[in-house]
Amino acid sequence: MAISILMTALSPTMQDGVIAEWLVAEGQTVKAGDALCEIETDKATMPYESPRAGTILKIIAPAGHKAAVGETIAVLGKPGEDWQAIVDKAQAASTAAPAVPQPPAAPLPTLSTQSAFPALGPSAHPPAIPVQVFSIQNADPAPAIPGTQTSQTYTDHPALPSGQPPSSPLARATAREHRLDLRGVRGSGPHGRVVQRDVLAAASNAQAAVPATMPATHMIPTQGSMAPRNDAAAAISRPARGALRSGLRDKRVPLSKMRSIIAERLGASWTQAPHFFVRAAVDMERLLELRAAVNEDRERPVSLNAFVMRITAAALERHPGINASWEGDAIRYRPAADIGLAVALDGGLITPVVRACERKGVEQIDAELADLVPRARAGTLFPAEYSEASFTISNLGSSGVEEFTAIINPPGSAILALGAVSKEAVVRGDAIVARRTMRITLSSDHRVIDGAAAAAFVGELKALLEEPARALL
Amino acid sequence: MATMTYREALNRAMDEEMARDESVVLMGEEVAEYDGAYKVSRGLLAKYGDGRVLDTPITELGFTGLGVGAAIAGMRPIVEWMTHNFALLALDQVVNEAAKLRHMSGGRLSVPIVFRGPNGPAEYLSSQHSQALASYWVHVPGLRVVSPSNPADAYGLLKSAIRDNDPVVVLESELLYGDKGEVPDEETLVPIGKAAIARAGTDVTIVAFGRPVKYALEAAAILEQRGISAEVVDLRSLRPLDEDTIMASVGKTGRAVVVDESWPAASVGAYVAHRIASERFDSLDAPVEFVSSEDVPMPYNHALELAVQPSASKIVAAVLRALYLEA
Repeated sequence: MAISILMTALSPTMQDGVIAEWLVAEGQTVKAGDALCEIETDKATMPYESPRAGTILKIIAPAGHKAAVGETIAVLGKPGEDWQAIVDKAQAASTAAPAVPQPPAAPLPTLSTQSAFPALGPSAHPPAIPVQVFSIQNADPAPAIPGTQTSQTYTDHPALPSGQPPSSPLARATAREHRLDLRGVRGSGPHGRVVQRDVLAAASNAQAAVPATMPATHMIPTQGSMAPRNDAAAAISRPARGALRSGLRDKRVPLSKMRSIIAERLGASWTQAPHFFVRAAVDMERLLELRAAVNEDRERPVSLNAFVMRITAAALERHPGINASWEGDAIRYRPAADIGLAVALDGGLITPVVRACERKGVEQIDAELADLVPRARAGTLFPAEYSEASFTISNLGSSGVEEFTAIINPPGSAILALGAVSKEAVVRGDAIVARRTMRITLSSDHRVIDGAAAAAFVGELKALLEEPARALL
Repeated sequence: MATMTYREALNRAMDEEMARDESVVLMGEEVAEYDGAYKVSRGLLAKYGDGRVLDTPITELGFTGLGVGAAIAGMRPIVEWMTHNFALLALDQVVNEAAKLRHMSGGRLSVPIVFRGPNGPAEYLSSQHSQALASYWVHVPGLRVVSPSNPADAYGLLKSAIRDNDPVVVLESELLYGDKGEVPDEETLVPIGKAAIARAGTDVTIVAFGRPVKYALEAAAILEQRGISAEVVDLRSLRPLDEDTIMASVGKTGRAVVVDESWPAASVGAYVAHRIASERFDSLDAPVEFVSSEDVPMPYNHALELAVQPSASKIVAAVLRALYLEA
């Protein structure tokens, strides 16, 4: 029984995707769960896993091809099966545009993405995310007994609006136990349901991944990366030497999807949002002492970013006008401090978001970062995990930069740029003392935030960072 | 431990209780001269005489009512229904009289009576004589309902039922009557309201009662070969239901498959599944699976008759669904 492999919507708004690369060839045998191809979406490149075992009979959409959601990209089946018939049938089904559900008595020759919801009335909007990502040809109809209850099946599983995958209660309990954010866990159950085994696998991966990826961090100082300036300077010189030797070449590289999205969005932000900048030098002694005390007996130290995010959330709570979005004819004040953290990738960047930082403890924020950041680098974040930040932090401290300005990451109206922590000579009383200091720069969208408001926020943030106990109040 | 059949175990329970307490009497169609339609009462007439073992006319409402009256007056009657299919005629006496009198008399009356007989499908008996009617009794507050799945429980639960001061319905099974099993030599009472762990396991809980417990155990053996450890909970008592045992098991395994040989709607199994879903919501990794008979009158054709009932392979399939291992 051959099946069509359809382009699947990997985000609620995805209309089409580009096949970055085929990982299998025609004639190759695959198991369920094997990656068939890589699909480029807005920001992430995600592997497309085979829904079942079989042989790749035909690759319809070659690498580089842009396929609409629901379009057949390949046919899977047994060797010798007629793939052309499957393609023809799938095309016929999709052009038939079944706005009216098929009568239930009819056999189900093809479950296209649209007709996967036969229980919805004609006026109902189809859910944004198709549940059925592959079609089943010649499905054996269940031996129905007329008028009976057990033969009923319910096929409408509307997508959850939040983009959060469905999960079993046990999976949720297990995730809480392991301090794991379920949004990052891929579900192996029906309709993508996250079940216990998925959480356990993710938990053991996360445990394995966290220590391994720590040293590779360069935008996210987590462990000892808030180092004095001379260490950071050494860090600069190291990659530079190797990179220069092989870096100068004459070649033209077509844009990746991610590159073009960055270009489009940050270009729009820079030209549409009137940026202005407010700076401050923050005495970090208290916060670093607090962090050192907290980390004294911990196997895995809590990152400075987690502290900064938590304290920034406290400042945002006191200045809700900063935590807002420009919507053309209105300003939308956001109900939670959903703070994005810029993470550098090869060929781009991405900002995983920790939701509602104002309601979370430093430890929880840190645990979520430990899950999100490695997956951000691996390009396996779900769209819901990197979109809709209400505020963003970009930290180039570990690269040793003293300070910098950042471009606002919409739909947020402000972004905070963190420089390196380094000892500076400062005046305390009448004495000049060496204090560990961090330069921060807030970029604000003047359509939403005025200078005085930005200054008040930065002043508050500076005060809270310098005296973190105040953030507890 | 003596090995005896389920039928002999029931007989021994009645024999011991009749010897122990003179107020225990047995009445029903063909229970005396014919030794019972299924020979459960064999020898009791000879031993206790026609004053205590009584053949009745074929009138379930009549002799069930006679039993209820005798119980109010101080006897401990055992009313044998030839099958629970015929007990439908006696529903009014059980539901409106036996189950209500303690409540409506403000506790001044009690009805210590046992209603017993085979329930559920046997073979080649078609639609009217193959019904699993547990819900009819379990639905009603004021009744106790037990459903022994093996000879030891048949013996111990029937003795407890006879000694109970409230009406108890015993769901036996024609196809279990010949089953052999070990029964303690010493007198033993199985308490009403206590489920048994028929087989211990860690991956999934299979809840069953009566004859399907056998299928659940068969399924567990098949699953073991696949490396799946299934725990089988034998409810034994349907009312009161031993929720502590069920919930402890599901809390441990995180997955539940409920088996009931009756129709699915408004069944005991559906209720148990609902209770698990409510009480162990946070422990569940999968929806509670339910294996019942198909929602149809029993076909006479034997292949279809077997096809509509729960079976070990249906239970295995449900377990695999609950574990997300289905092919």
